[in-house]
Amino acid sequence: MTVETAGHLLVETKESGDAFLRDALTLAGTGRDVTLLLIQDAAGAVLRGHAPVERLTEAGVRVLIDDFSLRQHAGAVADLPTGVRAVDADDIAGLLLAPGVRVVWH
Amino acid sequence: MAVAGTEPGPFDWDLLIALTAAPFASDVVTTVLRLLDATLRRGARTQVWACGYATALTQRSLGLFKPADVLDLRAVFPSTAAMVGDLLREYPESLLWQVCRFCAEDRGALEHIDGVPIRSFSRFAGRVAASATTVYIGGA
Repeated sequence: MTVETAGHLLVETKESGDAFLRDALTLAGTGRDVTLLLIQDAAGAVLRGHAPVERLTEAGVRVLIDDFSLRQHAGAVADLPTGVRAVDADDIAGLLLAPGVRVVWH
Repeated sequence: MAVAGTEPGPFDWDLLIALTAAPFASDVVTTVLRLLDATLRRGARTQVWACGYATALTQRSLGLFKPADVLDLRAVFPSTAAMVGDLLREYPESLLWQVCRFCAEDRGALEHIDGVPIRSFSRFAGRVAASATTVYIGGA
């Protein structure tokens, strides 16, 4: 799967990252290309329905979830809400290595 | 607007990961090791700047294996030092794992595995400037 982007890459690692997700919404609202990667405990937020995935995708944010973190939280791709794509470590490497990408890791 | 002659690059390194804070408060070490493996497999040149308690991850005293799991005495797991050492041997030209001297001295963590230099924090800015992308992972 190729998911490289050269915009803003926001990485959420915590389950309680509400303010950071609002930042993603705000950034997307300014017309910027925003990718949100949910990794580590942030995967649990998606599985428990705590992340505002629908609002994020409607705002144009590309929402990705780390497949390893998903499995660690006893989740599967079939459990994901519409609009969330699972990515592997190679995909994440591609995101980080995309020329010009701006990364914020929370 | 870019001024002629001041555009960044070309860079010596594709990615700098600044790893700080308590390494086992979350799955951050697993994440960083996965990202190192994945970026190096792609042919990238990746460096790590270990700060704070992350300076302990490559201490020689960790040995090759983690302490025994008393619930499964036959299980054997490599130490973080061993895993970083394996990556350094596999990618000697494209991986650099360096340790912040200030943080290492503060924690008495000055003996590291072969191939892991201890660097003054004054060199950190140069490391950032030499990298196409810097990712700060961990927190204060």
